[in-house]
Amino acid sequence: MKLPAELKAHVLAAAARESSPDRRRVSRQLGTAWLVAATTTVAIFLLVGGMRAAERPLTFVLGTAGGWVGISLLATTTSARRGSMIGRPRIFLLLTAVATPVALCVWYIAFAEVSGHRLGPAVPTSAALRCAIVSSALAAGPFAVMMRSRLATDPAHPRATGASLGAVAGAWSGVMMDLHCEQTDVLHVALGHVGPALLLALVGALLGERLLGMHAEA
Amino acid sequence: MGLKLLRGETSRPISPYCQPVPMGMAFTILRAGPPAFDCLRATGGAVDGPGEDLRSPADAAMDRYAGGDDAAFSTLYDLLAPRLYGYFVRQTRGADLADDLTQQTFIKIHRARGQFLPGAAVAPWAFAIGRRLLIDMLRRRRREVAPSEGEDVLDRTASEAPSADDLVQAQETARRLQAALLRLPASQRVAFELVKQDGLTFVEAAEALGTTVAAVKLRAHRAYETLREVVGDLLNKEGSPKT
Repeated sequence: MKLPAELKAHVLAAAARESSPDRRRVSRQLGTAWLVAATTTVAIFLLVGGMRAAERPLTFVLGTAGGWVGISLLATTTSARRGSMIGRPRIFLLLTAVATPVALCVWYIAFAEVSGHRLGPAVPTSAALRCAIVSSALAAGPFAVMMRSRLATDPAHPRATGASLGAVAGAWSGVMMDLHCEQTDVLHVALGHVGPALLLALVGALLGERLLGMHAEA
Repeated sequence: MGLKLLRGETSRPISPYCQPVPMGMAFTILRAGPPAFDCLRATGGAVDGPGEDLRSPADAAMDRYAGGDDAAFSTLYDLLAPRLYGYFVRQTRGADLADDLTQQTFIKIHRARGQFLPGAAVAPWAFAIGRRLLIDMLRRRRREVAPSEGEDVLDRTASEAPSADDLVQAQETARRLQAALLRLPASQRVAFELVKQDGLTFVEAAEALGTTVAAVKLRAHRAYETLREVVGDLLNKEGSPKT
């Protein structure tokens, strides 16, 4: 079948009417955005008190945080790093969104068990809420930049991509919360440190279609 | 000649007899089996040679365009548009919609060029964009794509046929195959078309569809088997094939 002769002229004219940044410009923009996000995140972390081992043994802090770094790296590799323009298969992304928070909790409990550290007593829910807010604030910048880097580029599964990016951002902020917060109550950790990863995954899923998707114009 | 060519030699270049037939499916399926489908590609006007020869320049052109070489967009269009347009025409049975969708797909690529990953393949992405736009547009118009009844855009490519009888018979075969193709589950049909007609590799088709390579292989194979059965039935009605 033959392409209509005038179609190419229409496409080229439409593209010429609309400027689009090339790769170098986008890289600069994203580099600046990452710098701002990282600075903001570190500033928030330091403002709330930075790393505090308090009564926790340092080995326990490093062990739990180290495991969480590993889990976060794995989640980042399997979902946030695209590999191709389509990104990872939907199942990978959804698994990342759901399994990452679960893995963080499992690691925390398992490491405490193995290292012989007795987990702390129950703490008020308000403390968990405070941690959840701080954790969400820590994740907000990186999450926004990751979403920006994929803006209107995902034709296949934008919801799943958004969910996985939220989980990844939440997992990294969980690492920082683990370094910061001295509470070791499982419920507190699950709600205040890990919960935001699940919450951001939900936010990512909700925003993904609109922000990351590529839809037909009327 | 009738269907002799269908059962005959696999001579190259592809017989001109192949060209007037929409989709050209019968010939290829019988002649070449799953791996080839050259006739399909040629009839679709999408690929002039092996897929690999075409894909690499498209990726290179996209890389150049993403890197700021505006002139590469024209090259990218030349390399991708025929395949995309063919895909849209087959899916919508309408040239107007195909025009619109092709244009929108390229505009989306244009807008997102700065985010194109260095070294990534552009074809699966472009087809995935096209597929997304197609779904949106069909949903919006709430129009069910009907099987073509002789006024298929593909028929516009018809040129001189060896004889009226041959043409009628071949068109009838192709029409039945086309109908069989449309009766396939959407997942099988799309996988089959992307791989066999649009020249995407299984990996690229899997990416475009957001699924696994194994799933695409399975779907395309099932579609192929169904279509082969249809062709087999048609041949049995015509008589035993000559060897």
